[in-house]
Amino acid sequence: MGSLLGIGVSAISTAQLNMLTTEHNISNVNTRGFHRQEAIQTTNIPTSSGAGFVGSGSHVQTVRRMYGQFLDDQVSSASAQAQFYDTYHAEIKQIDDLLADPNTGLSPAVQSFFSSVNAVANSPTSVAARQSMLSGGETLTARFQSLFTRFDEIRSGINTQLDSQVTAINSYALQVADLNQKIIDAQSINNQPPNDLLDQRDQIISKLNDLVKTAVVKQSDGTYNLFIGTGQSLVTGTTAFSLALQNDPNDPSQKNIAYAIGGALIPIPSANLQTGGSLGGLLAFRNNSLDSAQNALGRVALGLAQTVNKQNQLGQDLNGALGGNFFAIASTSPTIFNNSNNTGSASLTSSLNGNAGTLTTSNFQVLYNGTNYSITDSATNTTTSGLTGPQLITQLGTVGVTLSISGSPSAGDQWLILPTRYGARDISVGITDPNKIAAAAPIRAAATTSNTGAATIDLGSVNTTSQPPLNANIQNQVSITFTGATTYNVSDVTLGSTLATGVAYTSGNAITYNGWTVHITGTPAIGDTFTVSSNSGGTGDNRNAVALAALQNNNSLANNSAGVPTTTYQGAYAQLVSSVGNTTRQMQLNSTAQQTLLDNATQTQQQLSGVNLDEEAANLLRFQQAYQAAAKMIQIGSTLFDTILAIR
Amino acid sequence: MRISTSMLYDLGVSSINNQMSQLLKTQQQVATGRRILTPEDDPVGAATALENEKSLGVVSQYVNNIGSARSSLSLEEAVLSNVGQVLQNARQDVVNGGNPTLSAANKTALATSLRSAYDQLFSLANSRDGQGNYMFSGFKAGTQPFTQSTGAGVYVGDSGQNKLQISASRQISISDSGQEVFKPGVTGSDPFATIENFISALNSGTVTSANLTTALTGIDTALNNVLRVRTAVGTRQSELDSTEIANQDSATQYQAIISQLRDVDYTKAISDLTRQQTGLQAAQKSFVTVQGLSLFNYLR
Repeated sequence: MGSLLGIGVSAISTAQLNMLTTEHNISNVNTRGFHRQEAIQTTNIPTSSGAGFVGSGSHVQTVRRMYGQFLDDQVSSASAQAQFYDTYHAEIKQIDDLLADPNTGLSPAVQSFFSSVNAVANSPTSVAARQSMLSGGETLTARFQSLFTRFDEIRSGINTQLDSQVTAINSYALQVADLNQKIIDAQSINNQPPNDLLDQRDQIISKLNDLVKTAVVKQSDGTYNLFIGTGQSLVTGTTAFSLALQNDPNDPSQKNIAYAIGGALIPIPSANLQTGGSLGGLLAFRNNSLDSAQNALGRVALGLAQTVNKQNQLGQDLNGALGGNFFAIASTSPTIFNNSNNTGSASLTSSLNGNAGTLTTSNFQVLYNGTNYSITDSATNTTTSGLTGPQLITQLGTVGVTLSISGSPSAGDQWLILPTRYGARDISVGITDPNKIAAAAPIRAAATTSNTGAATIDLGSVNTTSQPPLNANIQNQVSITFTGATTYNVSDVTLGSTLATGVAYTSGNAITYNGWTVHITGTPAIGDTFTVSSNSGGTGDNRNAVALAALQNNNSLANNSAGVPTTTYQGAYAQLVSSVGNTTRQMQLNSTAQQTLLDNATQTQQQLSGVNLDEEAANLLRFQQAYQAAAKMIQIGSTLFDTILAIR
Repeated sequence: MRISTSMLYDLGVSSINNQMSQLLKTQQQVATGRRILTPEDDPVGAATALENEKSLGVVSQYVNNIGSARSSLSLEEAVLSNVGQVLQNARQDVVNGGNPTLSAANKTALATSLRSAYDQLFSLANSRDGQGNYMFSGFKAGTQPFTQSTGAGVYVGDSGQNKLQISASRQISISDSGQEVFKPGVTGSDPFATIENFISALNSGTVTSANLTTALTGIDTALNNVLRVRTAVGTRQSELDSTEIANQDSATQYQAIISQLRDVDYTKAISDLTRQQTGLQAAQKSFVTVQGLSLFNYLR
């Protein structure tokens, strides 16, 4: 009789626990990271009797959360990758948008600058045309600078994001360490799993994992040890390590992640953190895309400025003076950063060597090991070691940089050489006087009027190999006098010296002295004289302006292995657009693909762990009926008991 | 298979989001008329379009240069035509001056007429263009090219000849030096000296047949020389015309390539837009329908 009531009570409490669990599930249907719970119901130990074992009701053994380690791992791994690609895509998309805009892109500014150069070629004496070339140059450099500013904002934006992510990572690490402790405590009370604490911890780890890929190692006491990136320890039991940002010792413009241990910072190489998560995405974007894109823009700027300057220096301006630089290039291109840990007294300084075609989009890391130098190209990640100082200088000469080393380095000293990063910021129009545009060539060539032969001389041109700077004697008056039908003498009238005698004449061949070249064609008479002299008063001459205008269509950048430039300014810019566009597209595709993987993994995980309200509603009905039945059992038991009591 | 309620919700929302972002993209393509909104959409196409834009810009510049060359050359052509006319008139005067029956008054009149021809010629040789630059001074645009020395022309310009780029491989001359046109100081070719000498003969009262022959030969040589330069100018002008057509053809081709790469195909875009709109509506409707299904609706 007593057991009859007892079974009823056990049934009621079992049904109650079942209903509580169902209600818990329902109320957490929208809780992120919640795993569906199930009350595990089992029979009570039966009573042994002569008639055999008689059942004695049920009880709830434990409340279990529906958790599959493998499924959850798959979700978190997919999620870290999705975050990585999402972040990378979001960052590089900014550059993609920047370069794409037909109004703010670089190409229209280059085009309009060269239109104004052509206007000078069309009217070399027109001050209006010259002024418009100055304005065109200013518009162009302003465009370069505004693009640079955006790149720089993106770079400093990464520092800000890293900062907030490190703060979040530290907070999550502390929470996990704390939960580890709480879980130990909770389990020690009744040796039952603290499901909701476990869910909370898993949820925090999943957030952490979205920031930086996190590996979980489960300990026997129920705590989790966490490792981030390629295996950097973050949480051990109930202790959390703290991360901090530090200035990159090589490159003060950017910050890196480090362990903060007792006031000291121990850097974590950023390559170790690029395995997943949005922090990894940021670092990977900075290392793989931002540097090269910014360098590519800088290379166009520096290449354009250098080649225009060179051509202007080969000409003569409206005042009759030899041309100077049209663009000014600030001395911070190239930039050398000394590693902040350097101990030696060596000072490395650099300048551009003027050979625009040799500039690359790489940065160069130089290391002194105590005996010699090694240099690492950031773009190709190739290192050349065992270089002496002069060899290092030669090596950098091949990438457009003139390096000088003074003082003595200590072993371990490092320098980061950035030839092109600041190029787009560092160029400006260097002249304000429109007369200083060198539209004319500095020389003229003419036949003497009294010549009796039929030979003619062309206008002459300035040699471009090994000039500028121009030959000091280029404007000297030089006479070419024929001493026979096939021989001539050359003398420098200005210096009163003889340059050559008895030179063999072939019609149409180049005649080169003092940095210029002329061609005489036809049959000269003995005594005929041709003169090459300074182009004094040559204000209407447009020869150098035509050459300046032609630069737009000349290949002057990105030398191939044979030392021949392979592309124009706008071609190099198009390469940048294409490369950024490709990476952006790739990241977008990766991100979409990863999102699909994540959705699939989540769906699979949710099949086990998710809450379906219809299912819970059905369960509610089921447990309600069980409860009602149990209540009926107690009622019947009570009636039976009353029956017994009614016996008199 | 258990479908979790929140997953059902998330998936519904994310599919609506996807549909909506596709729709938005197509809408932007239609609104801007551009197929490539950012290089991401077609990196190779975007770069190729940029390269072609550069080529288009360069060719358009050549077309501009041709316009500028044409105006310089037609100005030169007009001056040369005047020079020819003046020399023709002078020749007529010289022929008349050879008539042995001329009175002294007639000779004086002819001398005056020839003096006027001389002055016209001198002024034409020192012509300036619209910007005030001397046309026949070579590179010395600011220097008056011709002065006189005892009647003969003295050239103080140079032999400079400006050129303009009219195609990738061709620079065309847009001027000729005074040396080339008038041959000043060249015995037998200098029209100034020839006319001056004949005026002296007329003024002296006796015109020998040697005077006459020298003057006629000299003027004819000068006329032929001017004609030679005019022919060269004409040849350059016709080259400008043919090069311009070639450049315009190239420009049209570049434009076609750029448009093909960059511009949206409206037929396709509009049909995409309609399809995506239908897709979005279906996603929205089905989401509402599915979300409305719940067992709790039946528990009363």
